[in-house]
This record gives sequence, C-alpha cells and structure tokens, in this order.
Amino acid sequence: MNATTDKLVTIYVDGSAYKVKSGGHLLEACLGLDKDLPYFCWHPALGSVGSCRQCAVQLYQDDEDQRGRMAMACMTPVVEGMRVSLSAPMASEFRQQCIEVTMANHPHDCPVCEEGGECHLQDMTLQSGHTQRRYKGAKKTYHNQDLGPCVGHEMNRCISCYRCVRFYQDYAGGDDLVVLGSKENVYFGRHEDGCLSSHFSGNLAEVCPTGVFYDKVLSDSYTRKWDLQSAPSICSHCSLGCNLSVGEREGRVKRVTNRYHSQVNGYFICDKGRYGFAHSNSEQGLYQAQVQPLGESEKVTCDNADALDYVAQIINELGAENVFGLGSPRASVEENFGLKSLVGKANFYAGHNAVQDAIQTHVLHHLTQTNLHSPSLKQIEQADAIIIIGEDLLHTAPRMALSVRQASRNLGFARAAAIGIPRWQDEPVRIHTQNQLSPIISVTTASSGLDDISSLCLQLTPEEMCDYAQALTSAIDGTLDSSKLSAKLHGQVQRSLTLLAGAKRPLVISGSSSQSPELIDRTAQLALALGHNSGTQAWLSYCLEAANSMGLGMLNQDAKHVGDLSLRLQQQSTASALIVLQADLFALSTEAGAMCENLRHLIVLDHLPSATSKKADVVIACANTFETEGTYINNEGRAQRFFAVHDKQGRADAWRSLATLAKMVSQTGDPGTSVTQLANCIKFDHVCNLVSQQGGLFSHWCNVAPDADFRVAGMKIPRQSHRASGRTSLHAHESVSEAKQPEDLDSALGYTMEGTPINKPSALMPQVWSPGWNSNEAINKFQEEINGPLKGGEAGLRLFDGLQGLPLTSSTLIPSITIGAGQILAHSQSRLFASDQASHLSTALRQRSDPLSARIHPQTAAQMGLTEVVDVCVELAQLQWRLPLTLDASMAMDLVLLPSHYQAPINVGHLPAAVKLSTATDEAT
Amino acid sequence: MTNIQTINQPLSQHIKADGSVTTLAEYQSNYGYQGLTKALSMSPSEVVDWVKNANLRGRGGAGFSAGLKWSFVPPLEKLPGQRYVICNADEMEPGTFKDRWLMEHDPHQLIEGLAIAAYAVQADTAFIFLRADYDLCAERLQHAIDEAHAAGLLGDPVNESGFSLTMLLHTSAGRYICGEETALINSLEGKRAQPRFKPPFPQVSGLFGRPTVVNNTETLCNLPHILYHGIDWFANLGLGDDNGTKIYGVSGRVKTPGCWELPIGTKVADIIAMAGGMQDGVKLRGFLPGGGSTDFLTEEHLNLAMDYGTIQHAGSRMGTGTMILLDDQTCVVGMVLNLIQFFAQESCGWCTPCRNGLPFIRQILTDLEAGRGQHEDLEHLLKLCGYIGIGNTFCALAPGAAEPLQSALKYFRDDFVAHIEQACCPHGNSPKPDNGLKKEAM
Amino acid sequence: MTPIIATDAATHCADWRLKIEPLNEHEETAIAAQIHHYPQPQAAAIEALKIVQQQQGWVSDGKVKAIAQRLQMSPDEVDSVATFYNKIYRQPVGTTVISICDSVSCWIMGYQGLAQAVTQELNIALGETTPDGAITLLPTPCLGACDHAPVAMVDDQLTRQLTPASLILLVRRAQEQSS
Ligand SMILES: Cc1cc2nc3c(=O)[nH]c(=O)nc-3n(C[C@H](O)[C@H](O)[C@H](O)COP(=O)(O)O)c2cc1C
Ligand code: SF4
Ligand code: FES
Repeated sequence: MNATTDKLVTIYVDGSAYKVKSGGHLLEACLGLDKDLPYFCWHPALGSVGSCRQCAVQLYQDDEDQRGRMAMACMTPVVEGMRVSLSAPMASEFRQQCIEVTMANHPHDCPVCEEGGECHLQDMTLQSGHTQRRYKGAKKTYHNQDLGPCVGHEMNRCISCYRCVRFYQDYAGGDDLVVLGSKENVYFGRHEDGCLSSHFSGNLAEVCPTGVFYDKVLSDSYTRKWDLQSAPSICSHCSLGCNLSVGEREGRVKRVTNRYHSQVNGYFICDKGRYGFAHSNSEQGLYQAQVQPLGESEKVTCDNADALDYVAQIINELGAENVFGLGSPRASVEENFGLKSLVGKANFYAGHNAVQDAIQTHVLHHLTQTNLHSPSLKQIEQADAIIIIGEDLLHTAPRMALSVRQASRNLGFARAAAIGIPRWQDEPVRIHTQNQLSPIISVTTASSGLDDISSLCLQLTPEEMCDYAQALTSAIDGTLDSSKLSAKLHGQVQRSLTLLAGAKRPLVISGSSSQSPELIDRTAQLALALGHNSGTQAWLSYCLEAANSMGLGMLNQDAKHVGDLSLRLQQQSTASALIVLQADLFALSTEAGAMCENLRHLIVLDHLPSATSKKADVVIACANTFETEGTYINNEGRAQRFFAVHDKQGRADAWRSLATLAKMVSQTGDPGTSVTQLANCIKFDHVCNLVSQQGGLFSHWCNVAPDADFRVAGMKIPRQSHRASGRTSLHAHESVSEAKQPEDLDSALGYTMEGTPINKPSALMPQVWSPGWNSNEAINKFQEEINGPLKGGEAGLRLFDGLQGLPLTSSTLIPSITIGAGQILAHSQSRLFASDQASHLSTALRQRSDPLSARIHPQTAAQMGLTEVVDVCVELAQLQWRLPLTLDASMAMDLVLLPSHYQAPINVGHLPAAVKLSTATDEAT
Repeated sequence: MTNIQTINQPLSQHIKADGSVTTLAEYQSNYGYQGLTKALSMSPSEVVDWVKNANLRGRGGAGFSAGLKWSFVPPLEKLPGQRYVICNADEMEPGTFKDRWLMEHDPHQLIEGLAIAAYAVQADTAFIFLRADYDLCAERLQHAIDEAHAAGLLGDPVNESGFSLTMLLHTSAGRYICGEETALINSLEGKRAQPRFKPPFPQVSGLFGRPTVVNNTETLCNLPHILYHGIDWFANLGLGDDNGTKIYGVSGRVKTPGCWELPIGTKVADIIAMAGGMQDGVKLRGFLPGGGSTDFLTEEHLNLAMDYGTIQHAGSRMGTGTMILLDDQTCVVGMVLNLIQFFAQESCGWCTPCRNGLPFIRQILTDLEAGRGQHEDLEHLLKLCGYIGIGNTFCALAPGAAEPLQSALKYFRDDFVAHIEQACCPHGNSPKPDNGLKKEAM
Repeated sequence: MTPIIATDAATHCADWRLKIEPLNEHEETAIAAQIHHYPQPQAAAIEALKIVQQQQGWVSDGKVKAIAQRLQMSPDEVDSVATFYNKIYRQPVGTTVISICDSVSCWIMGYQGLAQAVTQELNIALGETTPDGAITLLPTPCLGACDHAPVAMVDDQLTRQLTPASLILLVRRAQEQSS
C-alpha cells in the first residue's frame, strides 16, 4: 500500500511546515510525522475507504482562509503547500462526536473484554476527548456466532469499521465472512455459524479495533497484554520466517501475534503461525533427559547434566571419529553449527533425504551463484506476472500466498493510476478495475487455493511440470521446436506465453514440495529467461521444507544426507554413535530401522518425542524456539534471530548442551579444532562469533541482531511491560518472598520490567506499545514512514543477493523412479494444519485440519482397477497405510497424492516413490 | 403539425385523465421518437452541446446541468469500449411521486429520452433502475420497451442509423439509498447499495468500471422535446433563470394533492393553489419545498419562485420540486421525527455519522415527543445537525436528513420548547404507538 | 495394516452444498436469462433473489445457497446482498403482505390511525405475521403515492386514501382469501 513517490512536498500542519512524500494521503503523513490522529477504518495494508469519518481534519485553501473545511485525512491526497489543522475546534469536536455516537451502542464490558489493555477503540476514545455519555436509548444486542476453534465473536462490541471484511474478503480472498444487514444493524459474520475457512482468519483479532473478533485460544486461558512476558520470535512452521511476538505467563506460552517486518510478513501471519504454539505447553513434550544404559531394557529419567556426562563417556569410549551427527532443517543455525562442530565436518550429515538434499543444494547454488534474485514477500507484491510451479502455497507457504494475492492487483493499480486513482483509494481501485487481475499461472498437482486469482491453472505431475517449464523457457528464448511438443503441452505453453507477454516484473515461484530437484533447475532456467526477456533481474522464490532449510543447507556444503549416512554406517567396521538433533530418522528414510541396527548408541536432542527418540538410548530434552535463542535463515536468505520468551522448564539450550559436550570431550584436543572452539563457548554470542568466523555467506553473522551487551540507557530491553502485575504475588501462595528473576546472559533482553519500554531497536521489540497507543496499531510510532522499515533498522540480515553471474549447473542426479507392474507414482499432498507434530498438538489447528485421503484422478483410478470410492491400501516397501480414496477429476493423472501427516506410515520423507495401491480388504486393520 | 407555441406542457401532454397509458401509436402520432431521429442525424457531441446549451438542469434534486454531465464522459476515441446510461427511476424521496406519474402514463417519452442520452454518450446499453414498489410502471415500461424494440426504435441498429442500443429494465429490491447515483450503480452490479467515493466520477468509471451517466427520469423525459423543438423554445418555457417546465407536486392536508407540469419558476403559492389550497379548518405553517430532505420554508416564502436559485437563496433546496406541507394540526416534532426515522432506517450503514448519528438524533426526538426532553437537547440537536452535515458524511443522505430538522429548530423552536415545558406532545402524539412495535423484516 | 490416523477433521464445517434447496425449473431459466444481461454472473444476485422470492414468497437459507452456487458466489456473499435490501424477505411471510407507508405525507394524513387499527384487528405488531400465516404487516418507506395518502400495498396492489375502516376491510378480505 505504499504509494508514496520520492518527491517531497511541504505541508503545513497546525502552522508548522513539514516535508513529506507526495502521492500518499494526509492520515498517513500525519501519523508518519508522529502526530496523534484517530482513525478506525483505515489500515496501513488495507488502504483508505473513508467510512468511519474519525480522521477528520480542517483543511484550508490558503493563508487567508480562516474558516477552512472539514476533510477526512485518509481520503485526502497530500499536495504541495497544503494547510491543515488537527487541533481546529471544528475538526476536534467532530472527532469527539464521532466517538460519542459510536460508543452509544458499545458495551461497557471492558473488564471482561479480550481486547482489554490493547484496545484501539479505547485509545481513540481517549484521544478524541469523549468522556461524557449522553445517549439515553437502549443498547443493541446481537447473536454471536460460532466461528470455529480459532476466532471468537462478540458482535455487541462492533463499531462497524468494516475492517474485518476488508481484510478477510478483499485482502485475503476469503468468502465466508461478510457484512450482513444495513443501517445501524450491520452485522459482520457468516451466513450460518461455522468455522472460518481462511488460513488467515486469526489476523481478524488484530485487525478488529475492538473485541468483536478475538483470539479464542488466548481467551481460553486469558492474560492481558501488559501481563504477558514477551519476546521477538520467528515462526518455525514454514520457510518464510514470519516475525512473531510471543507472549508467556506462568510458564505457558499464551499467544502469538504478528510482529511487523516491512519486508517479510508486514502486518499479517497465517493461522498456523498464530495458533501452532501449543506444543510448547504440551504434556507430551520432552522435559527431562532419559538414559538407557547398555544392557538395560528401559530408559530412566535423569538430569540433563548426567545425560551429557553419559554422552561424553560414549564419545570418549568410541572415539570422536566414530560419532556422527544428523542436523535438522528445524533446528537453528547455531544448534546445527554446534552439532557440526562437535562431530566434525566429516561426520556431520543433514537431516534430509537424497531428494531433499539435492533440492537444497540446487536452491542454494542457484540463489547464491547465479543472477537470480530471491524476492522478499514485500517484493513479491510488486511482481506484475507470477508463475507458480509445483507449490500449493496456501498449504506450503501461506504468507506468500497472501503476497501473491496482493500482486494480482497490480494490473488494477496501474489501470487506476492511469485515471488518477492512487492505490490507497481502496474501493475506487477495486471498482474501476473490477475482476481484472495481473496474470498468475498456477501449476500444481491438484487444484490450489489460489485458483480464484489465477488466469491459468494447470494440473500436472511434477515430471510434466519440468517439461512444461522447459518448453516455456525455450519458447521465451525463441528456441522452441514446437514439433517436439505434444499438442496439449503446446497449447499450455502458448497460453502461458500470451499471459506473460509484456510483463515487466515477472516472478517464478517454485519449491521443494514437488520433491523434484529437476524442477528446481527448470524453474531457475525459466526465471532467467523471463528476466532476460523483460530486461530485469530474474526473480525466483523457492518455498522450502522447513524454517531453517536454508540455514542447514548453508552449513552442509558437502551435501551429505541420510542416505549417505546410512551407507557410511553400513561400511563402519567399528561401533558407532549417532547424535540426532531435532530430526526423525523414521520420517526421512524407509531404512531407518536398519540404520539403528548398525549403531551402538542413538542420542537424540529434541523437545518433542519421535519414533527416533523412542528408539534412542539417550534423550536430551532441549529448548524449543520459545525457550532459547537462535537464528533461522528463511527461503530468501534472510537470517533472523528469535529469542527465548521464557526461561526453560528444565530444558537446556541445545547449543549449550552441545558446547558442554564439546568441553567434556575436548580437554586433550587441539585448540584449532572445531570441538575446542565450541568448548570455549559460554554465551550465545560466542557461538555466533564462531559461525561468522566460517566466513563466506556467514561473514556478517554477528550483525543479525544486537549482541547480549547491547543496552538502551544502560538497561536491558525488558520482556515484561512496565505495568506487568503480579511479580510479587504470582507465587505468593508458594512463597512470600519474591523469587529472583531469571538472568539472561545470552541476549540483550531481560526477564523483568526494568528498562525503557520505548526506544527499542526494532530487532529486539518484544511487543509494540507507545504512550496512548496500547493496541498493536502503535506500530505507526516505530515505522520510519507508514508501511516503511522500522526505525533503527529492520530486524535480521539478508545474506545473499544473487548477482554472482555464474551459470546454472545441474549436478546431482537423482535416479528416476521405476514404476513396476501394479504400482503407481505417489507424491505427498501438503496440508497446512496438523500435518506435523508441532501443529498437531494445537487443539484448535487439529480441528481445522483437512480429512486424510488418498487423492487420485478417476481415470487413473480406473486404470488401477479402483472404480468405486473405497478405502485403499497403499504399500511402500514394508510400509502399509490404509486410507479412504478421493476421486478428483481436476488433478493430474498417473499419480496418487498421499496426505502429509507426521504419524503417517508413509511419510513425506519417503516420497516420491512407486507404491502399490489396492482396494483395502476388511481383514484386520 | 403541432404548433410549438401551444406546447407548454410537453412532458404531460399525453397524460390522460383516465390514467391509461399512451400507446406507441399515440406517442408516435405526436412527433414521438422524432427527437431521437433528430439526435441520430447529429453527431453525438453535437447532441451533448445542444443539451448543454439548453441548460437542462437535473431534475433528480441537485440541479446539475445534464449536458455538462455528459460532456465529462471521455470521447470514444480516447477511451474506447463499453459505456452505459442509466435512468434513475428509484424515486423514494419522501413526498415525491412525479417520476411515477411520468412513467405510468407515458413510458415511451422516457425511453426516447434515454435513447437520446445513450446516443449522446455513445452507450450501447441503457438501464432503467426502477424502484421496487412501482409494479404498474414496471409492467408498462417493459411493454413499451418491447414495443420499441419490435418497432426498430431500439435495438440493433436503431433506425438504420448505425447506432445500436439495448435497453433493460432493472427493478430494485428496495432502499432509498439506491437513488444515490453511485449506490445505484453498485446495486446494478448486484452488490450492496453503498455509495462510492468520488472521484472517480461515474462518467469516467461507473457501472462495471466503465463510463456511465445517471440521469433522473424527469430529466430524461425533457430530451425528446428539447431535441425536437429546439433550445429557444425550451428557454422560453421557464419563468426565471431556469429553462423548461417542472413537474411540481403537493402533498399534505390540501384539498386536491397531486402533481402538475408548470413553467419552472412558478410561485410557491400558485403551486399550492393548484392543489386547491389547504383543507378546511387547517392552516399552513410551513413546507418542505422539494421532498423530505429539504429545509422547511414558511408562509413568508409563499411568493417565491420555485426555481433552483431562488429557493436555495431562501435557505432551502428545490430538490425534487414536490412539496410537503406542514399544517397547524400536525406536530412539527413528530413530523421531523418521522423524517429522521425514515433516513435512519434507509441509511446504508457505511459511514458513522449517518449510521450511528441518525439513530442518536432519533432517540433525542423520541424522548422529546414523549415529553422526556430537556432544554439542552435542542442545542445538542443543532450540534448533531452540524455533525451529520455536508462534507462530514460519505454521501448526501445524512446531510439531507439534517435539513428538515435544522430548519424546524430555526422556524418552529417554540414547538420543541412546548414539548419540553409541557412534558408531553401538545398534539397528543406521546407516547408514540408505533415506534416500540416496529420490527425489522430482514 | 496401520489404521486410518485419527484427525479432528470431523469437526470441520459441513459442506454447504449439501444443504442446498435446488432451484426449480422456472427459477433456473429466469435467473439464466438475467445473467445474460451482465458481464459477470454475480451482478444478477439481486434479480436471482427476487425471482426466488416471487416463486417461494421468501428466500430460505437453502435457496440462498442454491443461488450462490448458480452465480459462483459463496452463500455468505449472497446473504450479504440479500440482507441489505428491504424487499428481500429472509424469513417466511404470510400469504398476503400488507405494507403500510409510514413516511411523512402518509404520517401527516393518518398513518398512525391505520397502524393502530390494523395491529389491533390482527393482534400482531408491525413486522409480524399472523399465527395462521395469512397476513404479514410491514411498515414501508414512502411508496411514491403521497398524493393519495395514506396508502398501503396489499401484495402488489397499491391502495389509496385509506381510512382505518377501509384498511380493516382489506385485511378481512385478505384473511378470507387465504382460508
Ligand atoms: C440519498 C439520495 C437519494 C437519491 N435519490 C434519488 C432518486 O430517488 N431519484 C433521483 O433521480 N435522484 C436521486 N438522488 C440524486 C442522484 O444521486 C443523482 O444526483 C441524480 O439521479 C442525477 O440525475 P439528474 O442529474 O438528472 O438530476 C438521490 C441522491 C441521494 C444523495
Ligand atoms: S506463513 Fe509460514 S512463517 Fe509465516 S506465520 Fe505462517 S507458517 Fe509461520
Ligand atoms: S480512517 Fe479516515 S475515515 Fe476512517
């Protein structure tokens, strides 16, 4: 929504002159000048509609004009020399009247309202000066709907600002939340009670300026914003790295909200990021170390320290060269680095299977060595043509889907601009452009959630996608020999060409979920061709498997994966041990069982149990993202730091455990080795220093976030708000003396309320708050300009920018899959909610998960002899899975899609593969 | 051949006392569709200039020059493609019934006018947006449209001229706000009838984002005659600054309420005289000159000419030109409350001053009418009138609603004070029987 | 064999398409004809609602869903439009709908007397339907017949210059017809 051009103009606000960027509107300009001007319906990402009339200012023609006229700031373009007053009596009285009539029906239920303590309405009411209630009529009461497990509904609190539907329908493309009724009885809800279907529904709680739409999960164990101990965090659920603010109270993570980052998530996150935190509070988590001494049949719990001692013994016994490490794309760079340092580069393997590893290697090569640029989400919104190949974004990288949706409007913005409508004029732009959207081509195995904005939807198998991308590339290069193409492919290529013609800022999106390294190469070629053709840098965005896939890839330059490890173990003649960091061997390889057979010891560091941790003889409970600090590198190559929200509950930082181990095993070691270096790490910053010493892309690692010595006015950044209550009384029933607050040696954040609540560098901002602005709208006080970067620099650091100019190489060859008789190719189908263990532990998300079924084209099913909709039996090697079958005429042929689920016997990590598919018989299940 | 001089009631010349409809044959026998033929013989821009020079002012309420409005439509060469004209026949302004009169009796006149407007702006589709309750109009209009299509007066191409036009009748689903031209356009798109922000004006980006002209029924009905008889004839019809005739109407306690076509600028008193004057035993106290959203004027204004400038100068608006009379037996507070209730009920619910301000005002007036008012309420009401005034709201509905109230407070303040001091309605209206009983039909 | 993994997917919203009350043949053809007039099917939403209402007397939830499917909208989007307009009934109405104009000219000319008389006669409030389903009473904004005030619509028929007595006569006639 940032429509400002760089031209500066002078405006006069209450007599003082200011320079502001032209092209925007007055409200944005005033807020950008740090002025307080109330508003409701305007939202920085949603633009202006002028419905609430709260942002009224007085506008004067010239110096002579004493009377002026009233204007809505959000609807008034900024022009050179304009004179406005925020304090003029007419305008301020009007704003007060607006609040007075708005409040006529608003219930005074603030004490029990979920919005309490962060209410935009309350802030604006005070700001406008309305204090006296004069309305004598009865208040209206409404029915509240059941909107599902995530979002609560309390309609009586509604002030009809229309923000909810503008976000839900217009911005996020949802169609099941609307405005109903009219006049004073406008109702924001659904046609009937029922679960909101949008993957972004949780943002309603933040978009709504009152407590109509609230976070139901928070409400179930409610805590006021000011009582939450918070820290800046990074979402661990997908590779985009959305910035989060996470709040805790009494040892439990209570909620997750969006944390503004102008280049990444902006103002919105998806529901998985918001509601996928319950694993952190789960009783099923690992909280204590367990050891199963040799010869014993069961594990016994013990202190982490004892378990580490035991592991050190193992390492010393077996010899360091016989101890291997398996890293994880879910663990931070520092944790993976720690493991790699401990076991040594030669013994470190990535928790990837062969395909995943090849994908990651290719991705890293393409993005760092060639001329491809991996755009940020904000940049994605600027693309004027997008071609998505092989990703169902709403399930694999939801926040990116939201950005693609915004990009689809660029044609409309341009058309509106041609008749003088600025892009922030939300309704006029939509009305003028109607359904005209920028070209989006969506190529997926089955219909996707972006089909509604796609000009062309193709359903292809990953192999066909490669052919398509290759043909399209040649067609763009002008080297296509169409006689070699099937008529169908030719048609698809021609239609795509027509759509892409004239694109000035084309973008290709692909990723790992098609499980095809070849597709990674093909899409890179396509992006380069498109970039060349449009005369711009080629833009390509890859969605990766996990939050730190990129980080693991960067640490794993030798590209060693589970398959390699399995071979190595087979070749081992001496007893060996494997340390597994937050990974599950069984989900990665069908040979996991055999690998375990080849090991004397299996050591797991994790916070959630897995098949591997069950099999392990040592389990070390380590802290999760809410309990430790670390860095993820997202899909675009942006390193971002997360911080512990609260002190661990007996779980040690994984990096620290690894450093402790290093210390125990390296006493005799050579000071130059990685183990000894790790052994010297006492604080987190020490690990960061080591990471940066690797050089290359890691050179500036220490700049990712301020170090632990950073202070504002001599003090740490408080995790608690300055009005946090209960520090002395919270545990009074246990002990009247106030417990000592934990100390944090590893970051610049403190576990107390001491320190300045404002003036924080943005990278360290636990929550947004500013005097008079208790809601998340306070963010405008921290932005350099509305929608711009945060003051003091955006959090995180981009590590590469693809201007190396080397040619694409396609190296690793993955043997193609042979489909035997009676077999069919199986790919996995991504499912956003509850497909992985962490989000499965969220009750709310579990209720929103799609049902499990094997999906197949009816024609393919018929060829397999499956004519009816039945349960099928899927067999892969010795693994079997019984599933209901869904026939889907709008998906690709010649393959079966298996739902991704972490408990599935046939896991994403085992696919793609040739499977046997047969009608399930009713014998024992 | 008709003598031009004798045609001084062009719009109603075909209206028959028995209420029956003018047939196509009847219409055509008296230069019907010859205005269109004339227009088609000119270039579109010549037609626009012709109407601009005739200074035909919009009869929908705002009085904006029709020709000037059309001239804002970008020329076809600059912006090729689809464009629309729409007849605003959503007449729902309280006290207004003139468009119905025209459409029920002489539908071809409207069809011809609309076709001329379409030709002028090069639209190939014309809609008549008719209010929901006008069933007889709907029947007669549809019949006339079919007749005109069959006779080659509409369709593809009209009169072998190369200009083709599809005319469609759309009946509304009922909302006063549909009469606001941008809300009307949203409604035609099948959406909620919320007004749109201007700019862009509909002439540039209107129905389905295309250039669109919206004109009132009466405005359009003038066109055939202006084209046929010429600008001078039209100018001579008006008495004052404005040109042509106007359909004036009177309702309230008069002997013969109704509407009549009179020279624009006819005196208020003469119009009331057309209605036979006040009923026996009641006295005139004031009047709303042009529908429910205009300011009250009083006896002192009876000698004013009913034209746009004069009435505006007197502090009100000519609006639709259909007056509602206030007599001495009707409670002013009750009447204003009734109007406010109408506007509150018909608010689209988009902007705060209208959506929440009008019910706020309604509450104060309800209390006043019920004898629960206080002196400070009057100041508060005046403030609230300013609050919902022009420029403060998204469209003109709420500022219109403020007009009768603010002028009633000016001219009939004593009536309000009496309610407060006597703690009841002197006309016996408190407590109101219906307000509590009313329920919304969703 | 590993059984089907339990998910909570069962608590997911039931597909609204299962609760459609299909359009009848007449509705189908009439709506199709309207769609023809516009560049996109959604523009015919109001006409579709009116067509269904003409056939059914009102628009049920099931019909809202049917219209939604026909016009490629969600039921929520259709309902958003339906609930905006005065003349779309989202609740059943009586066999006869009597809409009494309550706007200014009719109010001056005796609306209150009419309202009082008819609510007393039928023993229901404005906005309600008689228990036998014969008559629904609705207040309605200005009917554009102020020269004949006070007026009411009895279904599609405008009745003019009403008095309490003449209105009650109309009501009784409507009652007879429905029984
Ligand atoms: C709330 C509101 C209701 C209106 N209702 C009508 C109406 O029923 N009929 C009408 O012709 N104009 C109505 N108008 C005026 C129209 O917006 C528009 O100005 C008119 O149709 C233009 O036609 P004209 O230029 O021929 O007068 C209304 C305006 C507002 C603000
Ligand atoms: S889009 Fe990805 S990173 Fe962002 S909140 Fe959702 S799951 Fe987390
Ligand atoms: S913020 Fe400007 S009108 Fe709502």
